[in-house]
Amino acid sequence: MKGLILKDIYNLRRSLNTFIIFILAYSIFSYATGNIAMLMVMSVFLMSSMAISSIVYDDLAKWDIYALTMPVTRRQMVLSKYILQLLLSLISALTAGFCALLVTSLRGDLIGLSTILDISLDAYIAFLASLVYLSVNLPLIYKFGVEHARLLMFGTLFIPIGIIYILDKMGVNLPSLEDLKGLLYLSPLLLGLVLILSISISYRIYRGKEM
Amino acid sequence: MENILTIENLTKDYGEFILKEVSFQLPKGCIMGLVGENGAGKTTIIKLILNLIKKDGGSIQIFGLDNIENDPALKEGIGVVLDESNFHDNLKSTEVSKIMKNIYNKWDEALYFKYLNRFKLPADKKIKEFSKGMKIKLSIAAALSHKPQLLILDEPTSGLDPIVRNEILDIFLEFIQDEERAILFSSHITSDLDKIADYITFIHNGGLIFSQSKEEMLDYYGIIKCGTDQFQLIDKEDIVGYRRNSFGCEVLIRNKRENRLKYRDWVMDDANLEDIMLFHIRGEKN
Repeated sequence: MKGLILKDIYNLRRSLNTFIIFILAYSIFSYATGNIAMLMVMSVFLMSSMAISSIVYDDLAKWDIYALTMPVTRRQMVLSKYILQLLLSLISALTAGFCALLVTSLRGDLIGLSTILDISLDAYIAFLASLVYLSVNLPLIYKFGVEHARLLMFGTLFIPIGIIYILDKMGVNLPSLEDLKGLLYLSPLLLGLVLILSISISYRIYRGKEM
Repeated sequence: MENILTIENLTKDYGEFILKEVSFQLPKGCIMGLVGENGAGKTTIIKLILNLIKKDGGSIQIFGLDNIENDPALKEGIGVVLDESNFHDNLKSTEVSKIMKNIYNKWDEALYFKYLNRFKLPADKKIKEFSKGMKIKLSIAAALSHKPQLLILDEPTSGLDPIVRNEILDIFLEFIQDEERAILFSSHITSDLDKIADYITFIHNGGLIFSQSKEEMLDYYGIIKCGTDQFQLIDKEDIVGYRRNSFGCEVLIRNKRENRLKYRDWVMDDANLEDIMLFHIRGEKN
């Protein structure tokens, strides 16, 4: 398992370098405009597709058929992608949070407990979103392959946004972020359930695949 | 002699292609050539051995153990080289070692670098800069460095020049020297197998034609070159296949020793692996 994740990190090296450059550039931009929310959202968004990129690289090299000739189980193959994304999402949320705090303090704004809490909350929500995005899309990728799943992935991203937009236009009272705060306490549990469900679906699909 | 690999009545049904009840054994200390034309079923057999696809019947034992029940533990003892390099283009050979160290319990880094040196493979270059021959050599180094007992090679020498091929064949011969290990080597380059194989397993259209020692095989088949009139005189029972050309006929004969006496005045040559394959597959039958 460790070997599989290490292989992905080597392959994603260039993307990870791009991420560092991006986060530096966006930090400067945030410093100039004072808008740190975008820094959080964009950095985690960029990082959220890394596990999917790693599958693209694996496909190009025809890695899976080779990896399964080694002492590696199909369960480990699937699980390694989720762990990879969990690690990268965590790192990106922490980095973005740290940069946001740095930008705020450099701007001379007062950093109180509430600022730290706000930034942490933003980072946490971005972290959640990236893992939910992965949990929805990884089973699709295992089922249809990266190429065919692209259109579906586009759908999974924009259909919910579209539905919210339409409901809003229709005058439906959507719950505000304040209303949703109650859900925040439940979110680790919900995320856990979503991940377990997604992993088991992905594994079921991958288990039956003929290489 | 103990078997490293035992295959019995192995069957896989793809609908349009069926691998039909194939059985053979690979003893310790031997190299077995798995031959047949493209699409004959060689890769299907290899995939079944490695549990990459599901079988529809039969059994496979590796080191005396069922290959599915003991997957993936068994794979610690198997080294595999597929027909192309499966390492990502952006990796370097040093990184391959770090990855493999975390996959195989018995990964021997020093041995791996010894092979890299021997193959003159650069440690700090990305794999995308390697030639095809270098990529295959890297795969071989990776397949040998966890000290496997069984090496499975799926057309590793196809597309390589004769110099590199010879170098690689030497490595395979060294590998089986200690008489404890074995190689299953699928190839349609019959001259490679003429050089190194102890056993030949011949697959055609998903069925087993024969699996026997190369010596026995070469001893069993012969080629008679004769005119069309003479051809009529050959006992049909003795003919495996024949080809007509403008000069007459070439006939692949079974039971060469006995038939040498029977067709005493005729020209009978030894057949090589390529002849035997060609006459079985392309030769006309009675």
